[in-house]
Amino acid sequence: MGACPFGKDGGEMNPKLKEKILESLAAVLPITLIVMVLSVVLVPMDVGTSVMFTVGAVLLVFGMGLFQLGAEIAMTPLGEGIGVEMERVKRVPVIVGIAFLMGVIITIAEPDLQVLAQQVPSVPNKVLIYAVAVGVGTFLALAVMRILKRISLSKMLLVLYGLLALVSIFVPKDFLSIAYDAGGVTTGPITVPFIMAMGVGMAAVRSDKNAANDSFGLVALSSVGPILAVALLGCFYNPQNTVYTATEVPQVITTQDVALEFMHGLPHYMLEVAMSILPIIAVFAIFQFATHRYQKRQRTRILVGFAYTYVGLVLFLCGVNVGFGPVGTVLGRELARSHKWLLVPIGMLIGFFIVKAEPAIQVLNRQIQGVTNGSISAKAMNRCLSIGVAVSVGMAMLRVVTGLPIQYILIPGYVLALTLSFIVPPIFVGIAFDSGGVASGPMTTTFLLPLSIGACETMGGNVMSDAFGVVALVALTPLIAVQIMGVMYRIKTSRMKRVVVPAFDGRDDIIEFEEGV
Amino acid sequence: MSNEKMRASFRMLMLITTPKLGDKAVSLFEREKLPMQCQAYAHGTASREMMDMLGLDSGEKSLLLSMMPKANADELLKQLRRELRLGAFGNGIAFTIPLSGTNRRMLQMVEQICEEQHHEPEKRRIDMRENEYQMIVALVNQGYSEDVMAAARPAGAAGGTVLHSRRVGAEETLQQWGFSIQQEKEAVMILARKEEKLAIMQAICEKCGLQSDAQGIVLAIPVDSVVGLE
Repeated sequence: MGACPFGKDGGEMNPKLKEKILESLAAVLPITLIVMVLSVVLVPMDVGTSVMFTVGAVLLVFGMGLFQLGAEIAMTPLGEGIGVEMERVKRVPVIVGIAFLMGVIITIAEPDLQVLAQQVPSVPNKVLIYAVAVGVGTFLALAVMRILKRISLSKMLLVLYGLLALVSIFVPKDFLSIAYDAGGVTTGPITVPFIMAMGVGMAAVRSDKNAANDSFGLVALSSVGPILAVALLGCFYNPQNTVYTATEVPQVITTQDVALEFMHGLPHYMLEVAMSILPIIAVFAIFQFATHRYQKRQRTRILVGFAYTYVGLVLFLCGVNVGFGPVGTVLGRELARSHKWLLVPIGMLIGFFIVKAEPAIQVLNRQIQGVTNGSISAKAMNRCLSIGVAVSVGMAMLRVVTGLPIQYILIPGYVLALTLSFIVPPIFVGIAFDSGGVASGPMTTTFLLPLSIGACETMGGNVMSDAFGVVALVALTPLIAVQIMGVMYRIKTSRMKRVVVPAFDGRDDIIEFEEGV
Repeated sequence: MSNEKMRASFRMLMLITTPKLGDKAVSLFEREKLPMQCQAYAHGTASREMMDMLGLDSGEKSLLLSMMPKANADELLKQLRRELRLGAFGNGIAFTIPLSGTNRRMLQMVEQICEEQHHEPEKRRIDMRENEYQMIVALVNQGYSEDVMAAARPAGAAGGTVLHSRRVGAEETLQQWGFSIQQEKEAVMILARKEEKLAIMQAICEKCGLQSDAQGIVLAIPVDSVVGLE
């Protein structure tokens, strides 16, 4: 009895703790090693920067582990609980109202949104933040209505993306990349586990055969909201100039410099994460007060989980922003200068391994494995997303090198994704469009974006139109990759059916056993 | 109604283990071409309160169900015991439950597969308990599985497994939005020694019975052979 993390046999480590540590190592180590190898072989990096990167990686491992644990014992049970109780509410306006409010509250607090707002100076920060928040709220409410009114997700997505395409025509070209990036950015590491779990909860108490399919799709629709909101703002404000803040590469020489860099970053992320987690804690308090759903021990566990989530995210964001961001810029610059032709293959390699280090991805995969009872395994999802993101980073680098307009990739991409959505089993549609929003998390914005900005600057391209958009691409390819997995699944199951059904003559009736042979 | 009686011992084999070992068991089933009917996710009950609140307890469990003749089932239990190292701390348990009937087609398929399986009987003696245990199942409202364990533990229960489920009952189903919405339930399964069964059931009934908020139903099911309970 006690908080000793070791099993009662002594020496043996607590299996849960061990699992989490191994999981986060598996997520963070590959990308760390690749960057290390690159820094030795292709892009010489000064020792200070690489020490900073290593410290960042260590923070990432701990942050990732704590975040996963927190999502598991706090965010997921809370989201599921809200989903379950929401479905019991009898009046439509109340349900829709709750969904809308949830969307708004969660989004306003999203730290990534503040960063986005600063990148678009022509629109007042407050206007942009509220517009995006209302966008998410409206679309989350729509997503809930969709489930209740049984509108097919594919049709709904078709209509919404059609609308989006229409609006895109009127959006200034420089602004388009930012708008699509906004969709991927706003569904961050706090929003995703929470909204995902809400969908699972709503489906968990239903007994019809569509229940599992409807577990997914909330994040998918919620991430259309911000794109539309930012695109509309772009039409009205007609921004002339958008600026971006390139990640500065700080001069670090001694280990003390490294420590100072992290010490400077820490308070900022402590405040930022506190701002985004407090609304969720408030939601928990109100929800518990209204429904008394959680028993004593569960309540304590959820609160402990919030603490894990908080510490985990602070460590993670600090590690990735301070340690990884500058390295992304350096890597992009140097590669573009000396090995231009290597940008695409190296981008693909990085993309393949970086998606595993997105904190919300493991939560998504676990959720999927749970709902499908293992028939879509976390392993299969990981492989699928890795291939998808590898392709998208490759394409993003290709854009940096060639200046190919983003529409040339986005339009055929979405047409393909939407077409597939009418072919594959419905559950894959929900999972695919959800994972698009999930794949583009803090790792993408703090490492991949600086990477392409760095490369673009060196090549002398237009940063606004050529470098941005990497987030949008990372959000696009999973839609296609996961749905292709769905097509393969369909082919495989139809083949299996043919094999399993042997010739059987006669009726099937019941045989009773008597003991004893 | 031409129901037939047949002299045969059929067993339902149930394996409760960690997800990782569960995957290993699935590949073992595939390798031996054994029928595996069902797999579900469950979670273990917490043994230590402090660890539980820290989220470091109550791990995920994988539950596998399969049906086969007793002879095959006992062999498979031994094989699982050896290959998954059941009996080592936290690796899980496997046991069999007597069956009293099935549909003919299912039976033919299973018999066909099992006849092809001619294994050398295990030479080494493997610790397998027969007829010493019973499975207690408590069906309670969502959130009360911890209360069930709190009641059962002092009466001798070592641990349990929780399955999340829905109540399916015509009269209480909430018809809403055209879906039927059911109450969430938790099924707590506890393997107990025969002589402790009654005390545990009584303790659960007292604290979490139908009169309580947990609205629990307590059942006991006979268990044939068990491995992994050392």
